[in-house]
Amino acid sequence: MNDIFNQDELSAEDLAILQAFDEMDMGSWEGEGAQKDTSTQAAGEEEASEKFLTPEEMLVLFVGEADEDITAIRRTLQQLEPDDHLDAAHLQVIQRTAHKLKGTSGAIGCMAMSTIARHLENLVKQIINGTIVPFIGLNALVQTAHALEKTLISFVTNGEESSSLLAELETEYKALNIDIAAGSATKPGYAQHVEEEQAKESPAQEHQPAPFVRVDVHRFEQLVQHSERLAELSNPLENAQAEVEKALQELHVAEARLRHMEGLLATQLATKRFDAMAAQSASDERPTSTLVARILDESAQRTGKLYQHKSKAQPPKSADSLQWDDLEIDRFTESDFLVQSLNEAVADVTTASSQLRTAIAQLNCITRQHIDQATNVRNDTLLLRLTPISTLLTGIERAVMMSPLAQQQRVLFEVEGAATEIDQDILEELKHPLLQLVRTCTAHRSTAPEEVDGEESGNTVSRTWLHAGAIGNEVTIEVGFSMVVGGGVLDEVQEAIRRLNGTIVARRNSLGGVSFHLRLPRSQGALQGFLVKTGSHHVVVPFSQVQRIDDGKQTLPEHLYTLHSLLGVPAEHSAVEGVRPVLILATEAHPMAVQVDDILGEVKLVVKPLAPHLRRPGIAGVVIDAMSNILLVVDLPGLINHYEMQESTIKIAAIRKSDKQVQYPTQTRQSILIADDSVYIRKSLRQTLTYAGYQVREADDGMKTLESLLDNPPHALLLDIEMPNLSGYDVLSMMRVHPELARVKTIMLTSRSSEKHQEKARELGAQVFLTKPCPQDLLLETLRSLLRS
Amino acid sequence: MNKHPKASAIPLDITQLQNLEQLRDDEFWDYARALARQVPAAAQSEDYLECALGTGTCLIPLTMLNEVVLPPHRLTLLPATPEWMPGIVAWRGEAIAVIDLTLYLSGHAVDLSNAILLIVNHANIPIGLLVPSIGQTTPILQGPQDTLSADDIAGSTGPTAPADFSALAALAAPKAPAPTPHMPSRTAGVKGMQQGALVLDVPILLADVVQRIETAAANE
Repeated sequence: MNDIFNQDELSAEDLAILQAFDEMDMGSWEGEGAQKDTSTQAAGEEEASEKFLTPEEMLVLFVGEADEDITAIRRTLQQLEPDDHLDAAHLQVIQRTAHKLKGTSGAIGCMAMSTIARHLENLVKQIINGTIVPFIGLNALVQTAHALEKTLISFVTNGEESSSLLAELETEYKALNIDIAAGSATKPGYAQHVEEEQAKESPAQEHQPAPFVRVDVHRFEQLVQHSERLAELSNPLENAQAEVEKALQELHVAEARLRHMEGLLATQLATKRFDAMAAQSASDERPTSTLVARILDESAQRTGKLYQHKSKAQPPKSADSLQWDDLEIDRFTESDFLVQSLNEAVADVTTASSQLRTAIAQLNCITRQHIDQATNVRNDTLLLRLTPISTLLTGIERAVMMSPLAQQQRVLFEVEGAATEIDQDILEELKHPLLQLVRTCTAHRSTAPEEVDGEESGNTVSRTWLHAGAIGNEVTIEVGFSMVVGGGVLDEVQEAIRRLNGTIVARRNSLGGVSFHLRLPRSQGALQGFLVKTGSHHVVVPFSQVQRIDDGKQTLPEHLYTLHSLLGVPAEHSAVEGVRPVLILATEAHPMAVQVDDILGEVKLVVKPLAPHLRRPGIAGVVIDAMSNILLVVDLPGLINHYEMQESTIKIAAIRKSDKQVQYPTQTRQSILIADDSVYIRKSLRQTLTYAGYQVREADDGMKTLESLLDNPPHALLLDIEMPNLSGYDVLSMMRVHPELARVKTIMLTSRSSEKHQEKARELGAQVFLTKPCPQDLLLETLRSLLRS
Repeated sequence: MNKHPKASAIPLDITQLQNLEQLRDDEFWDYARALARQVPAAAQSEDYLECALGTGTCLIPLTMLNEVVLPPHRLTLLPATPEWMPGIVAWRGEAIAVIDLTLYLSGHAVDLSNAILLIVNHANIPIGLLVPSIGQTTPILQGPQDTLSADDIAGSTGPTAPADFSALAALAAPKAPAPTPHMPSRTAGVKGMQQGALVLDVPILLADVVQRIETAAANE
């Protein structure tokens, strides 16, 4: 292999051969990856046949790659015109290539080249920031590229770099009044340029809620009709309520009459009993004392009135003791009248009860109609807010057609489903992230001669498309690109879409490019999901996250979680341990499952966002049920990712605390995926890791990395940030969407060393951040600790 | 124990002192009574609601209260929250954090089976404060001469005495007396004591609560 390349000059043919070797190597890994992982022996045999590159071969590899990068820089510089405003896309290509060269040359120890490449990066930043005027900036760029080229030649010719070229370059910067260190603190490249453009296009109030909404006339009339019917229902509702009130009053009157009858009847009966007893007493009872009897007799003779016994009437011992005689016929009639009145009162009560039941039934009927009509009005209101997605397309199409890619080659923009409707607020929130995504993806100016063959022979055509569709309350949007896309903004786009309770995933499309698939709620209406029980808590799992429900009796997936563990709530220990349902998640690769205590049913409720201080990973929001209870809406992939990250962090800390000795793996062969766009870095890492006993795979861009991850998740991922076709950050963002990748340990290995990058990488899920060039011992020790966790 | 309001230290010049010396005893005492009857113009009272804390009581300004409600039967548990946040509840259509005020202030858990939920709001962030029970309202005078003494921290003052709003610094100072059941282990949001009850500074308390809830998620 050493004989194939000339150290002095690497032709395109040489590079093609080198690339072919790389692809053969990758192909063998990708094609046989699954088998290798299932058979350690087979992997060992394959590994034994792999030939390690000698240091000289590695140097040739580096020189070839560096020469290619410098050529790309020079070619791009030639396309820059000394205008008032240097083309941002060209500058981005220079910046990205310089960044790659900085990392590669730093890794091999060519520090002068690495420093010059860093200066090139800083120059681009300052030109974009406006710190350096374009004319002077272009001059400095050309001189820097020249210094790079001469330094590489000196390295190839003399075997070491000439440091004087760097010193001369820095002197030249001073002569041009350029503070080359000032660019380090600025925002990276094109991202900032895009932000500036967006800031110009969209004033601050653009993201504020719109003060008005556009309304379809037909729908507005429908809403008016429903509102009128709702208003018309007010009178029947009031009448029904009045009827109920009236029936209740009648019932009360009848009740009062009954009570009155009861009183009269009681008095009558008491009088009757008293009279009967008095009559009996008059005939039978005489005072037992003779003296008293004599006094009473004398009194009767004197006054002419007979003695009447005035002792308290004793109640009869039984009703049978009452004897009605003929002289009491008038009293009998009165009693009969009372009984009759009582019967009438009872009948009145029965009638009032019946009327009340009828009135209540009528009221219920009217209330149901009222509720139905209110639902219609609510739905109308939601419909009023819908607008076709076509309103967004003009801006997107303009962004595509004004893109650097479109300036270089013919770009087609196709649309399907433009009439698909979505809530205006959602569309407004979606507008900025979608434009950001499209701008970033089309900002990448291809250096390849041809990407997609057009219909016309000889023309280079790239295709971009937006396909939209709606199913139920869900809208799906595919934003596709046939060519290699830029990256670095997916985490922001993903965050914006998550706020809308949506998801975004990246997939390879049929044209070999990248498509972004978005799923969003159609309106801000109700969310449909399963109401599940875990421990003593109830939570809502959206339908969209669940592929199917398993009864838990069959063989469960390898990655099985319990919801109470994911949420960190105590488990409920029931006396009878029954079979618990398992939610099989809608994942793309390996099946993931979450066991719950019970599925209580389905709910359809409006999701409310949590206040910032209450937001938690894996909690999408809350719903409030009819009893004013709060139910958490869980994001199961997010919960699993967070859980795995927590577990990993705890285990790493424990291992680092307990064991400091370096032990390279010799028994078990763990797989590592290297994701880096630099051939030299990949080969260098492959040698180091293979020698240490790991199985190694490679990916040279973000999309291939994601595909390789999903195809066969490795134990660990060494991930660069700056890569074509989705950046390292984008890969991390996509990994969060796939819970099956939650156990992959990620090490960021990049030449970007600032705290900002480290913080962002950790936020997105990277466990460790290492800076290139990274000492082998540190890399291997880090890997060992990480994989033992 | 300070049972009387503190007299203001009014500086007198020589002429005023000479005038006082020339007064007869009855004139002097008449003058002294007249001065004593004067109510300081700046003194204003604010109504506070007395709340039991299990290990003591606290006073919450009525002006900070949005609502006093019975808590729901069961709170919704949110992951990664401090131990003194038993969950969240729905209030006026949004989810708000519920704080066990006793646990937050003293670190001691108390029975909350018959608790009351006080909804307080600051900077548009409503928070529910869960207290075992509530008592009566108490007016507290606020004067410009409020100072703190050790007696104020340990014991009670007269019913019309001004509150000691500088107690927070004394409580946090190294020379502060050892914590008693009436003394908070967390001084954020406590601005003084009144008759043995902690006088809460609700805005500071809520700011501290929100910050701790946020950091609990980050430090999980």
